[in-house]
Amino acid sequence: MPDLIAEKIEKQLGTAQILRGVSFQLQEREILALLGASGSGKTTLLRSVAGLEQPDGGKIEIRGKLVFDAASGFEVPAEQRGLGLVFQSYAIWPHRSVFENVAYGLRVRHAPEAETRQKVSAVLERLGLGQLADRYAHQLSGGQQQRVALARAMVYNPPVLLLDEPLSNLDAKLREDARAWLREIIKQTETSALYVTHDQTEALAIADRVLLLDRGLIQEEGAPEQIYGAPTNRFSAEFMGSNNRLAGSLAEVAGERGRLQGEGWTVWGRLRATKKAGEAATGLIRVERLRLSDGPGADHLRMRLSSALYLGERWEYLFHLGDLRIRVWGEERLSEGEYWVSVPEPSLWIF
Amino acid sequence: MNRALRSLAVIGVGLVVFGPLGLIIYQSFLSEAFFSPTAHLSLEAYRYVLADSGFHSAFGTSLLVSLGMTLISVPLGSLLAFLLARTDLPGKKWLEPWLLVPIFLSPVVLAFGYVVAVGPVGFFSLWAKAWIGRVPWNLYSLFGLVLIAGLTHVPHAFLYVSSALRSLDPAVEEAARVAGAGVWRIALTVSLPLVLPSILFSASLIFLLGFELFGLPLVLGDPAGLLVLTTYLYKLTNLLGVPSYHLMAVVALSIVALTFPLVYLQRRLLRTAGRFAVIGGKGQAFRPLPLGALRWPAVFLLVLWLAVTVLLPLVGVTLRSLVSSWGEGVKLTEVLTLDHFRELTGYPNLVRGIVNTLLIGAIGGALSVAFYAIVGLAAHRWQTRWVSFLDYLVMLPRALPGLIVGLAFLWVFLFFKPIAPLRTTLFSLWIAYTVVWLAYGLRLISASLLQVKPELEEAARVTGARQRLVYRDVTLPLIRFGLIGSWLLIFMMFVREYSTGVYLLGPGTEVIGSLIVSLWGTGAVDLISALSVIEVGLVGVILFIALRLGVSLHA
Amino acid sequence: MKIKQAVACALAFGLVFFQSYRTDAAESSGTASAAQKEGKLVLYSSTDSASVEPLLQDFKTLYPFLQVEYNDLNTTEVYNRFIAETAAGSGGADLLWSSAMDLQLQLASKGHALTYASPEISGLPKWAVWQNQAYGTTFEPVSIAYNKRLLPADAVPQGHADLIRLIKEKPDLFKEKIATFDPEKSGVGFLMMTQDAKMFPQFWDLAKALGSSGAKVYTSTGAMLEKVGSGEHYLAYNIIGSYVLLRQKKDPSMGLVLPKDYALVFSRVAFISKTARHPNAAKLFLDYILSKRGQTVMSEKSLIYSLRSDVPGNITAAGLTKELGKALKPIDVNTDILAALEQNKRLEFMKQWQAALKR
Repeated sequence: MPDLIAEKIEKQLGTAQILRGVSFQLQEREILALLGASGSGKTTLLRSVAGLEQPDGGKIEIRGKLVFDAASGFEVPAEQRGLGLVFQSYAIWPHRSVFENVAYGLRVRHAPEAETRQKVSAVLERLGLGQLADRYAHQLSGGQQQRVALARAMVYNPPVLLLDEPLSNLDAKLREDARAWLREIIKQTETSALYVTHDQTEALAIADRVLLLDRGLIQEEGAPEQIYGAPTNRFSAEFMGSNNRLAGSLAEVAGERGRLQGEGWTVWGRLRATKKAGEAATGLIRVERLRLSDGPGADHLRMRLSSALYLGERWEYLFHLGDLRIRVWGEERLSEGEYWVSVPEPSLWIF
Repeated sequence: MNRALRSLAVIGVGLVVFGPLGLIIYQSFLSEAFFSPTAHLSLEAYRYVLADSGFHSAFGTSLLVSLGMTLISVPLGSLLAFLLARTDLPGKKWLEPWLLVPIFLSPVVLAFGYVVAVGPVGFFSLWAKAWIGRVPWNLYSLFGLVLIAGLTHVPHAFLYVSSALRSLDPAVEEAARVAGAGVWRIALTVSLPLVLPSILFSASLIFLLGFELFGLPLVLGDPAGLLVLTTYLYKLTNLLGVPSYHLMAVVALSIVALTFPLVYLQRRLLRTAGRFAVIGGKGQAFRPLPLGALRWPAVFLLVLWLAVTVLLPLVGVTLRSLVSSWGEGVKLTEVLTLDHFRELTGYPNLVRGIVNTLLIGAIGGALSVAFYAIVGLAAHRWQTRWVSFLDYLVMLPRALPGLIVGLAFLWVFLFFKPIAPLRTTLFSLWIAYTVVWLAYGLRLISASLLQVKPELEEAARVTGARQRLVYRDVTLPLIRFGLIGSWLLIFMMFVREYSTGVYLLGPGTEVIGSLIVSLWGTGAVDLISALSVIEVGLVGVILFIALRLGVSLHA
Repeated sequence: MKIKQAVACALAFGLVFFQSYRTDAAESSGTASAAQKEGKLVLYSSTDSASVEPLLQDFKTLYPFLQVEYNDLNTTEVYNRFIAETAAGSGGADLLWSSAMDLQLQLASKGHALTYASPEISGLPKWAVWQNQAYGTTFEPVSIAYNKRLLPADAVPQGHADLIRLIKEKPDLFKEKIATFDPEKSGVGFLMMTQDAKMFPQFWDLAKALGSSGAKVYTSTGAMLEKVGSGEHYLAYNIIGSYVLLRQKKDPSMGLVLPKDYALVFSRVAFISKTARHPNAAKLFLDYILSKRGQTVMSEKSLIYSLRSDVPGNITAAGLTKELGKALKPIDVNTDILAALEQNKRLEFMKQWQAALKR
């Protein structure tokens, strides 16, 4: 049985339609990422599951129990849903110690003191906060606060963990370490988790499955590799990764393949949408798929180097050809001139 | 808090606001006092008042006073705000609390202090006369009244404009400096225009307060024959030899008709001021503008204002309380005495008054803050029409001078037999005070509540706490400091209160403020000055404690 | 906790002991024992707390079991409060004692006064008692107060006509230097002015003279005396003599003139409210202030001119009669003075007054 079922969730705020009918299921022990730009509705969706927002339409069930049904007006208030929520700002109560923050959920459930003490200590230990039980929020670093927020959400073993951009307030360096650690911890507890983020790398890294949201609707749904490597629509393709866009028209169509043509250039790619010859089309290719080549060949274009930026871990080159502007990554400094760029056919998606 | 309780809180507020107001409206349409057996519905009262030339001139005078004092206090207050908030004026830290002192002094005490200090035979007037042969000023004039009213309301303008200036991004002014503008020009063309909404808001506030002035015109206006709407109403208390409650009700309503739109206008201005004010970006380190050559003139201006507005009347009052007689021909050193204070102890009602003032300030104040907190929590994060209804509700007492609210509550206690025995207890006074300061108290509370990030409460809810527990465990502890600060501020306001208790005055409900007004009528100036010194002392102690605790006096 | 309990016990014991002590000292007369049961007395009065203190002290030694609540209000407040409270049925006052004779008589004539024949009636002049309901209690001259330091001796008026002459002769000296009652706002002031108008044929000349000198009007004796004392005003017209005497105790430069052409004589009127909650206590008080003992205290300690002819001293009816004789014009305690209160007459007078006072 899925831990969480959301059906056709709709929400309007003022004149804006934030969610237009979003449905998904969260399986046991699964980490599902809600990925999208700001305004896509992902946080609203999370808060609706938590009970902090009331959708205008739809149904929500937690482990088979109905907690919200817009049609019948049935609603279980947030405090009775028993979920755990990690806020983006952590929301650690400044007037309570770390211990008291974490223990709150158990105290509210009238757990006996000894049991509370034991559970809180255990979860603090597990998250590496053992020494900080008596500290207060202002004495903690951002990363520590984030872990306290997580501990607080986990201590009463909720059926679903909700996380609202938990890493976005951390410094970039910390974030990389944190995402590995976070996934590990969640997996250890064997709880399912709904994870909201705008950072696609984070979503790909942490989640078992990714839900891509745009303007209140699900654009793409699937495992990380699938979403990144084989997007089914143009939006998802453009959203993920760093892309080059080749705008032109379809000169030829041959089954799954199509020949894209522009001002002085032409390449073959894979059709990802139904298109006819003669139509205008856009080709999308991940920057990392492009390579400098030694010489001419199929799918090779002769392009002029316009500029080269040194990024530290690599070089980024900007090539021109006719109306094409293409970014390519490489490892060495290049001097001005013309070069051959390889545009592998399977990697070029035509929409 | 569930809906039922929230609605109950709003209804409770509605009762204490509409009850008295409704009675006033009802009374205005009667031919006599409402308890007269021969009273019947009639428009007589309106006809009389609206045709009375005394009313017209009182109206005109009120208008002039309001206008005049706004024109004085707003520019001066804005200038002082700029000097203290944006420049490197020396001595800022210890000058600022003094700037706010006039707010906490009772206007009757201030007015009385001015009479003793610079009245026709005031201490300073006589010294001036000895120096240059005549007294170059006349305190008992429209100009005198307007000037003092303007000077004593500078803090109001200062408060709002300076908090707006504080949230300005300093880069805005630095850009002007780099472009070559001097401090004065920056003030006039950059800083102050940017906080225009706050300036307009304080102007509308002061204009409103002008109509509600009572103590100042009572003491300063009467000898000059100047009446404003409030003192005109006070005079009506016995115009025809019988209580002219119906006439008073009409005048009260006319004041409301004037002030209510002003309060409404203010609310809208406050909203725009709020939007405007938070302009600053990240990392606003405060970088003051250098005053250069203007430094000491600026300090001089500030000290001058302080001297005239605060020191002068206080010195006057204190001196008067320590001398057995004064005036032309009296040598000061011969008449110093502590007798007046000793005399006070012989008057049980005065001693009671001092005790009552402390009681109503400390305990009453705490209870009022609790009430405001309940109402504030009821409106907290509750998106319904009830909340906007509450907003309008709260505006009503704001539009009524304290004098009228006190009168209205007197009528309520007379009218409704079941609660009549409470009239002679401090309870009647407390409830009138709570209603008069409702808007102020709620604003204090909501300022604290707004500082609680919603996520802190939501986190508690998600972990399983019901709304009541959320308030108890999260919201209230977090506004604890704000509550204490509010209590101290309300304490001070209650101690300083004078007009609300005037009509409710009786054994058991004496407080220093209304005793002074009543004693002013009997001319027992010795006692008044001793009482005033005690009141100022009380307020001073509380103010000191508040500042020590770091309570923000900006509300 | 133990200490608290001990203190509470001690307090309780002390209270009980004190109560029994008080009961022992009670008198055995009928009214007194009834009053004792009442235990309390509520007074509404326009007599200053300062003046009344000696009387209350003495009264307390006589009847220690009575707790007296003394409300010091001005004359119109006494009237208004009483009317309002009686009409609302939540009457508080037992006895009203006010110098606004007309307002008091008005209340009595409307039936608010309790009919009570005080045993002290025999010691009072006939004109001071009205239907055994309203009683005059004092015999106070309406006088002129002046500042001895600043007003030269030849400028001190000896009578009303004298005042008019002096204002005309020395306009600069008296410019804005005269204070008097505001008949519009003060019941006492109104009574005095209207009686002046009755007694003094040149009253309106006087009013005009006051107006031309820029006289300032006030609602309280105290305010006027304060300003005369400080020199803001040189002279106050129509001040109840007793207050000036009190003031002179503190301020030796306060002068008093009893006008020689005629002097109005005031009597503060007292009556017991019909709806009094403590009528017997009120009776005791009324008897007291009408008694020789009370009137003596009034004269000697409160410096209020007393009414009874058997009171020794100068601050008495006898003393005044010796000094002024026929010039004394007491205002009778009866309903004649109500004529001026009638609405139209009152408005008429006020209009004339305003016109005269305009400069």
